[in-house]
Amino acid sequence: MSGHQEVARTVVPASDAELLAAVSAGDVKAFGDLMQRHHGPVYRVAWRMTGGREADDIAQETFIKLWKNPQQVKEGSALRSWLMRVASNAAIDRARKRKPEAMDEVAEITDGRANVEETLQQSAAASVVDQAIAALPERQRLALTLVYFEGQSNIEAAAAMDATVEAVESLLSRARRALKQSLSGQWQELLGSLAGDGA
Amino acid sequence: MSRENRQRLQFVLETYGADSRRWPEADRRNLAGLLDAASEPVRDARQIDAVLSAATAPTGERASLDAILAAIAGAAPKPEGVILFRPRPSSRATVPLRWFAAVPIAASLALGIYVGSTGTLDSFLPTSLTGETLAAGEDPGDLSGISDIEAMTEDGVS
Repeated sequence: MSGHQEVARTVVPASDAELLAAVSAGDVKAFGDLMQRHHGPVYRVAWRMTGGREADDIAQETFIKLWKNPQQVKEGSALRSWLMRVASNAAIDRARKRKPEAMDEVAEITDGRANVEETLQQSAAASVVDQAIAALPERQRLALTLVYFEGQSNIEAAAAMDATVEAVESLLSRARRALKQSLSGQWQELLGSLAGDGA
Repeated sequence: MSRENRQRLQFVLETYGADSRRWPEADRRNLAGLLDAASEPVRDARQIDAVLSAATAPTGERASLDAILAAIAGAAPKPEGVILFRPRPSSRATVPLRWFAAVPIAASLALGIYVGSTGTLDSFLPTSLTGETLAAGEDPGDLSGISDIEAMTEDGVS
């Protein structure tokens, strides 16, 4: 048979380990591919941990650290956990430096019952929830972010947090309880508002 | 439902919420079919899930990625394209300069050997330093050279 044959080709994406090896040799394209793959979760975790203020800086800082010393990641398969750990630590460090501001936010939440109607009218159920999450202890907030919002498994979250699975589970259940507790005064109103939004 | 399963289900609901997609694999396999929507633990977990889902979603993700990728593209040398954050040059690059610094040291060493072998440096130094100022028979009061001019005049060399 003459003529060309149509060959169905499947491009298998390079694994993290392969890309990491290329990055070690100074391959910018491989680094770009790794960024495309992992930037989203890193940025979102940083965003949730800092309220969005410093997510850009933290994401950049995390990837620069990877670029400068890719050998820090012992196994390519552990890259995601490594990135999450670096970003989380950076976010927690920055959050601690802003402690006074964070305390103001907590005060706002506990004193905010009188304003809840107005807040909800401004379609800020989200804002109320954001503030309640922001007021959680850092490790609880991080566990919630990794597992609930990022959909990581308890094993992945434990690796990222340098903790045991049991510790992560304990943080998660405490975070959920604390959230409900801190919003207890406006719980029904909040649920009603969310139901109205189709939640 | 066994007592163990009931306890485990309650733990999973309190920890991971009511959406079984967030549960650990084994729990999803064993317990998802046991969910009773009307039970209080399930209702409670669903409420907390609903509140959490109201949290603001992160924004600016794409812009952040684009900014970092643009920085990579801008920093990459053309056409081969390598290195966003150029590593510090290795210390090997400075080796020639180190040799250069050894030249005056070698010169000092050679001079030291010469002085040691001849025993004096006077021939290299001005007489004002060595103290050798007057030849025998010269007038110590005349170091200006005026008397030499007078002598030359007398000889008719003016």
